[in-house]
Amino acid sequence: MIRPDIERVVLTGCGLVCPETEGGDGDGAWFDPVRHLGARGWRYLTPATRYVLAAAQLAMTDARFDPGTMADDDVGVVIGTNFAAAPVVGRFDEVVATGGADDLSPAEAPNFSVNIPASQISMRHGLRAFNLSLTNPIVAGLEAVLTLRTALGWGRARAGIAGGTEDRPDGGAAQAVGAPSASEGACCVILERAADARERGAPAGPEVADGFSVFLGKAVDDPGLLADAVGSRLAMILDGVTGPVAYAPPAGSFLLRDQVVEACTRWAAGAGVELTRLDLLGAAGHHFTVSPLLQLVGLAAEHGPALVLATSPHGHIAGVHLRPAS
Amino acid sequence: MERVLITGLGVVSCLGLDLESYWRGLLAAHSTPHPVDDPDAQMRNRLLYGIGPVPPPPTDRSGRPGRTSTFAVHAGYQALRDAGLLDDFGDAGVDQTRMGVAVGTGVGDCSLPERARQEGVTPDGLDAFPFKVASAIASHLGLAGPVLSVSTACSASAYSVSLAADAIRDGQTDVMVAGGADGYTRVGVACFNRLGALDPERCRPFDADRRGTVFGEGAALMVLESESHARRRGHDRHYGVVEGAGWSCDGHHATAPESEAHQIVRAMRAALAEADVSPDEVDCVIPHGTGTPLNDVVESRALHRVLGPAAATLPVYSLKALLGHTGGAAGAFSLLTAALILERGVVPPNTPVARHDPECDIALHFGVPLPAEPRHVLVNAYAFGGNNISILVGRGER
Repeated sequence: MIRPDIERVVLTGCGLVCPETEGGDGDGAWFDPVRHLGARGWRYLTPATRYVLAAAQLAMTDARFDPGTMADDDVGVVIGTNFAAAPVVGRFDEVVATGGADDLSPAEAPNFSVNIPASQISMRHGLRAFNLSLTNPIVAGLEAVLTLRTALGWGRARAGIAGGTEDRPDGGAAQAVGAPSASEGACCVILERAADARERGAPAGPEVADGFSVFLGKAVDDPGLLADAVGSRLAMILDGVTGPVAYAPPAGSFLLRDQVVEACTRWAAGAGVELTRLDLLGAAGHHFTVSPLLQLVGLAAEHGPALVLATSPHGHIAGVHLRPAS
Repeated sequence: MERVLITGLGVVSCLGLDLESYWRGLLAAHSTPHPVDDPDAQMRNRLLYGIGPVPPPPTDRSGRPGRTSTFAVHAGYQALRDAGLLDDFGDAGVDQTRMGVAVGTGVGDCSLPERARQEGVTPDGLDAFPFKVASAIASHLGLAGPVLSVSTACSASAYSVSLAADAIRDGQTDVMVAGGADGYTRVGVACFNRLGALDPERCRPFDADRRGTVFGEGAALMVLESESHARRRGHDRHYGVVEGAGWSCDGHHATAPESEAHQIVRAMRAALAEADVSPDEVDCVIPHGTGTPLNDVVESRALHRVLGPAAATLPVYSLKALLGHTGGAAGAFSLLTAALILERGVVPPNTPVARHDPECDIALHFGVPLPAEPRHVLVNAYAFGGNNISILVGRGER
């Protein structure tokens, strides 16, 4: 839960790039780096880095946000990801095992580090307040929003970019979240202190009112504990809210996710909250950390209180409450 | 504002698999890296400050623990036990939903996909997610509060400690198991080979002949606890206090530090400001000090800009010379060591440096521990992408 006395923070812009929005569906061919990033400077960047650079740029454009108008240490970056580096690390490993480390490209070598996508945003735009990469399964994208929100409240920056990015993983990740196949892409939002946004005439967006991210622990095996865990967190972040709430349930299709949805529905019925479920882009869960962010961006277009939840098969749960900025 | 105490420590390192072995290793000031035993590690430099076999905890709902999770779960158990919290669940009124985890890891459980590739299979299900170290700690220790996984490369675990302290000060939680863990990564060592960033002999920060870093592995976890919670449960022992943190980003280059050190200076000053501590109250520094030629010079100069002439004389403890570079765990190892220095009142001797680099005008002591009774220890951690953090840890009232 976010401390109630800290600075109010609003979402003033969003940008997303994924096969569904770009009109394609396979192996990265859907993404046109020249259109998004220009003719040069992206050749040695991984797909996940290219996607997040594009999404960050789109979000800044949407927010009419020019970081050059602020001090460079006033703008921070927080990005969530699970698989930004996994495919490239797999490729590097094959090179090492077959030809040796000397066959790696020195220009590409830094890309083994999963924080390079976030770092490239700071490098490209001169954003120097801080730069964080978060990696919890599935929930890291929403955690990026909440972490930036809290950091702004602590005065570690005045504005920032929060988001998620994913390359397409091999193996059973899609199976774990109940998706038929894995996808890729990125989604970013601009968060600003409400007073700053108002002063510069930023586009009106919702306030990031509150949120949480916790581990369910033993509750995953006990329906009663699970109901308490979900209900108590929702009660905290939706304190005082009654009536209709636009709602994006956790993405994907797996047992714990269904149990969380059930617990959420029961809590709402008892609390007088009318959850209006919206099936938004991201609901399938196959964009991993980006999926809940795609849902959040969809909810941001609503004109009332909104709730997005995310859960991982490992036992994480996160939620963000958006409300109209006052 | 609520003080954040360090009430428990746990460590798995090349010096030993428990806290006292670790401390004895620090005092001995001697370690040797060895070539890693990995037939697929086709590279010139395979040196590692490695750890022998550590039995993995059982597979549970969070998935199969890889090497990094194994280290982390062991260190987490130690830290909670050291804080007197392991036996307190339930009856003693410790609410597990008010106990969380914040762990920094650069590569997560990379041993699982690396082994799977060796075996020609792909990890399925939960194991397909590489960054489940925090989940493993929470799951095995039964914690149900905020759980964060931070992967800001080599500053990850210092950030995880800072975020954990913020969560406690914010009132989100009472207790956080915070720190970092990283296991051997074949791909990481290979990439550092290709970047020419590895020393062929050992990790020797601030040595004029240093040629790069050498990887290490392990886990360092601390129990951070609100002072009010510690008081409520009648716990009156702590190692130190997390007093302040300063964050910054060079926004300059993927691997090289910004040579003027503007942002690492800003991070140090921000940590001091948040702690409300003046530079002349800092009695010891644990630098990032990786052994890469430019980094050590830039950091040394930055220390002079922040601490003034005292930077040439106050004790600097160069930890990576002993542990190697433990990647995402490095900041946590430095913070855990700072906590031990504060509690025990001595700074362990540095691992000998053959020829001190005159470009690095800092004080490294050798041979015997330095009685110091430090009030505050400044810890720096830097990373790929120019992601910097400084944290000030103090003795606090005891």
